[in-house]
Amino acid sequence: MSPEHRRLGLAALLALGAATLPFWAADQYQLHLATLIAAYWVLIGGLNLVVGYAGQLSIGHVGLLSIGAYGFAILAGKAGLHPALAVAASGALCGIAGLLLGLPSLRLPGFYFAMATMAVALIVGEVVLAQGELTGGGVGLPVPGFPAPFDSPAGFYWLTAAAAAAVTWLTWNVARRMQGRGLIAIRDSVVTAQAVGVPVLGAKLRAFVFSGVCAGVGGSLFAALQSYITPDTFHFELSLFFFVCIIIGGRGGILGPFLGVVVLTALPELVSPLAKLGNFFYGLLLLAVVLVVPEGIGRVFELVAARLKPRPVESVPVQPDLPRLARALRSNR
Amino acid sequence: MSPAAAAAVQPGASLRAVAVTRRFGGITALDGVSLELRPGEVHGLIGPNGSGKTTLLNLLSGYYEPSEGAIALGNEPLERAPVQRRARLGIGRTFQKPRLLPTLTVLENTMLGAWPHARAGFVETAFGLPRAAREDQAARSRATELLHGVGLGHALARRANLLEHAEQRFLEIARALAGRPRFVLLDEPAGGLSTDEIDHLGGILGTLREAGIGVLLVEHHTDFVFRVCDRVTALDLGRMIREGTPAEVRHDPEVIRVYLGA
Amino acid sequence: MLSALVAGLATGAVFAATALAYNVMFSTSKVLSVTTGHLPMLGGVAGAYVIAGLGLPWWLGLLAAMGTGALFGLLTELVAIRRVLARSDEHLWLLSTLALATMVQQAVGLWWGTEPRPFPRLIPQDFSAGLADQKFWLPIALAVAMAVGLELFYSRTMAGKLFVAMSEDAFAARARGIPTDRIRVASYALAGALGGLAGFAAGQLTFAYFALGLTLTLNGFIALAVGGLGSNVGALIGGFALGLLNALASYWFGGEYQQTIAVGLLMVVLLVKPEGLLGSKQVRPV
Repeated sequence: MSPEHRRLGLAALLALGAATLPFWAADQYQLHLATLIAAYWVLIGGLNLVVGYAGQLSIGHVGLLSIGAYGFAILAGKAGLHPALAVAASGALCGIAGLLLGLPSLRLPGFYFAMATMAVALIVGEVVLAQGELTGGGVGLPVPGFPAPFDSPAGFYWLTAAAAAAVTWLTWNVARRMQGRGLIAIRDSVVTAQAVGVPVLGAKLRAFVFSGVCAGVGGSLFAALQSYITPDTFHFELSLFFFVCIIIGGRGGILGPFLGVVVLTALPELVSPLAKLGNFFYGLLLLAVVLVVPEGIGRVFELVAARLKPRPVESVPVQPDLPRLARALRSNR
Repeated sequence: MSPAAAAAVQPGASLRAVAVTRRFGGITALDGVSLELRPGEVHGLIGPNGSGKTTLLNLLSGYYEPSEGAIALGNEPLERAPVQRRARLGIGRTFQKPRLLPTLTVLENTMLGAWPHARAGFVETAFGLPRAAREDQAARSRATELLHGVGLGHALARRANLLEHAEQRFLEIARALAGRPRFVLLDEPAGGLSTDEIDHLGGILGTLREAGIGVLLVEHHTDFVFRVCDRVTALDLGRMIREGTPAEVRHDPEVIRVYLGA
Repeated sequence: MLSALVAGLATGAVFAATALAYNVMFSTSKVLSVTTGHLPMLGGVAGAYVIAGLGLPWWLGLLAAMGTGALFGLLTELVAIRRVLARSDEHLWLLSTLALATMVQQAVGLWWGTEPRPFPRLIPQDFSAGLADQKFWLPIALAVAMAVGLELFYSRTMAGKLFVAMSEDAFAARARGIPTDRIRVASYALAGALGGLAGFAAGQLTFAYFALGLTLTLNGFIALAVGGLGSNVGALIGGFALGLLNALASYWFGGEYQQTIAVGLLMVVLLVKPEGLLGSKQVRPV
C-alpha cells in the first residue's frame, strides 16, 4: 500500500471513529474532551495552512479565538441573535480581523511577524478587560448554547465534529492543489515562489484570512462548550499550544497536526504529572522536535518505515528523451 | 504564458536589456550593457567572476531594477515589472544554486512551475470546484512529459531533497518549462555536471531552440557555450567587450586576453 | 505628571536594556532570540532569592543575577542556537528560542511561584524618596551605562573589535582566522550577564515576577525595532520613547491600553521608516 493510501486509510478510520464517538466514549468527560478537540481543530486546521504550509510563524492566534468566542457570546447572548447567525457573524468578524492584522504584518520578516501576532494576542486581552461593559471585563460572560438537536452533549459534539470535518475538507483541497504548492513554495523558497509567479503577500493574506474565519467559528463553538468565558480562558499559552500541535505534527500535512492536537489535548488529562508541568512540557516537546526531527513526528514514522523496508535509491543516469520533450513543448501556446 | 499576456506581446518579440547600468552602493556591477535575446535563439553570456553575468540575469528576470537603462519585452517596458509579472509574460529561469522544495516530489516541484496558468484561486480550490482539479491534472500530465523529456522519468515520485546534483539542475529546467515560457534564463546550468550530462544539456537546449524558445545561457564552460550557442556576449568588469557569433567572440583579442588567458 | 515621566523613563530603561541585549546576540548570530526578555526576569528573581530569601549581601545578589543571566545565555547558545544555525531552515531558531523561553518561564513559575514578589532595597533609602527613589534611577543609570560601555567595548577593546568584524561579515571574519564560534558563545554570555544585571537593577520597579519575560521580549523588541536593529543609541532612544509613551498614555487615558499603544508606535515607525530610526538598511533579518 502506498504511503498516500495508508494515510487516506488512517484518515478514514479516524473519521469513522469520530463519527461514532458518542456511542463508544466511556463517559461524559471523554465526550466533552472530544468536543474540545474538535473545536480546537476548527481553529488549528485553518491555522495549519498559515503555519504548516505557508511557514508563517503566527504565535498569537489565541487573540482571534478570543474575538470569536466573545463575538459569539455577545451576539448570541446580549444581542439575542440565533446561534447559527452568531457563529457566521463571528467567523466573518474574525476574517476581517485577520485581514487587518495580516495586511501590515505579513510583509514583515519572520521574527517581526511573530512578535506582531503575539502583540495582537496581548492587545485583544487588554481590550477585552478594558471594555468591561461589553465583555464583562474580568468577570466574564455566560455563553448561550445551541437549540435542539444540538443542545445535548452528543448533539453538540456532532455539530462541532461536522465543523471540524468541514475545515479538514477545505484545507485538504487547498493543500493538494496548486494553491497548496504555492504556499509550500513561500515557506521553503520565496525566491522560487516569485520566479514561478506566486503573489507572495496575496497568497499569505488569503491563507491568513481563512485561518481567521476558522478561528472565529472555532472560538464560537469553544465558547458554547465552555458555557462561560473569562479573559483568563484565553491565556497566551493557548496560542503556543496551537502552534506546537502543528509543528510537532509536522508541517506540510493535515493528519500529523490533527494527531498532534489529539495527543497534546488528551495527554495532560490522562497523565496527571504532565498536567502539572503543563506548558513546560509543551516547550520541552517543541524544543526536542526542533532539535531532533524538525519536520515533525509524522516524518519520524516515515523515516522508520523507510529504514525497515529499505528500497535502495538506484543511481540512474539522466537520459533525456528529446522527441518527447519537443512534443511537450509544442503544446506550449 | 497566460492567455492575456500572450495577447499583449507580439510573437516575434525579443527580450532586451538596453544600455542597463546597475550600481550597488559604490560598486558599478553593470555599466551600459545591452543584450537582445531572440526567440528560437540560444544566446551565451560569458565573463570572469564579478563581470556582472548574474546581475544581468537578475535584471532580466526582475529581481533587481536597473539604475539606468531599460528592460523590454517587445515594446513592453519591464523595468518596474516585478518577478511574478515577468513569469506570467513567459520569462522562466533557473538558479546558480538549485532552489527546490525539499519536501515535495520531483513531479510536484515541476507542477509548481505551471503556476502562471493556474486560474483557480484560493476559495475556488478550497470548495473543491472542478476547475482546480482540472488544472491540476493538466499540470500533472504536462509535467510528466517534461520530466521524461529532460531525463528524470525515473524519479517522478522521489522527494526532491534526495536528488543528485545533476538531477536537481534538470528538475529546475523542467520546472521553468512547465510555465510555457517564451524565454528561459539559465544561470550556470552546467555547474557540477559530468561531460555526458553536459552533452544531454546541450541536446535539451537544441530542442528548446527548435521549439522557438529564446534561451539565455550564463556559463563558465566556454567550450560548451561556443559549441551550442547561436550568439555570445562577453562581459568583463560590468562592461560588454564583444557580442557576436561564437566564432567572432572566441577569436576576439580582448576576449582572449581577459577570459581565455592567452 | 513629572512622576509619570520619571516612571516612564525607568520602565523604558528596562526595555532599552533588553534591546541592547538583543543587539549583542544579534551581532554575532544574526538571530533575534525569544529568550532575551527572560534575562532580566532571571536577574530579578535570582537577586531577590539571594538577598531576600537567603539573606546574603547585595553584591552576592548582583553576582547571582549576572551569573544566572550569563548561564542562561550560554544555555541558549548551546541548545537553541548552535545546532540550529547549522541547518539551512531559516526559522528554526525562532522555534527553538520560543521553546526554551517557554521552558524557563514555566520552570521559574513552578519554583518561584506565579505571584510577583518584592525585590529588596539595594541602597539604604526610605520609601518616601519620591522621584529620587532608586527604583527609578537605578535602571535608568544602568541602561545608559550599558550603552556607553558597549560602545566603548566595541571601539576600544580588541575583543570588541572582533565582535564588530564578525557582525559585519561573519564569513570573512572566519576566513581571517577569527574564532567566530567562540565569539558567539561569548556574546551570548555577555548579553546574558548584562540582561541579568538590568533585571537586578530594575527589580524594585518590576518586582521579581516569572511572567516578566514575555512582555519584556515583546517590548524590548519594539524598542529595538523603533530605534533600529543594530544601533545601541537607537535601543536607548526606542526604549525611553516607548516607556514615556506608555506612561503619558496611562496618565492621560488610564493604563488599560499599554500594549495597544506600544504596538501602535511600532507600526507607525515601521510604516514610515522600516529599518527603525537609527537602523541601517542592510541590517534587517530576513
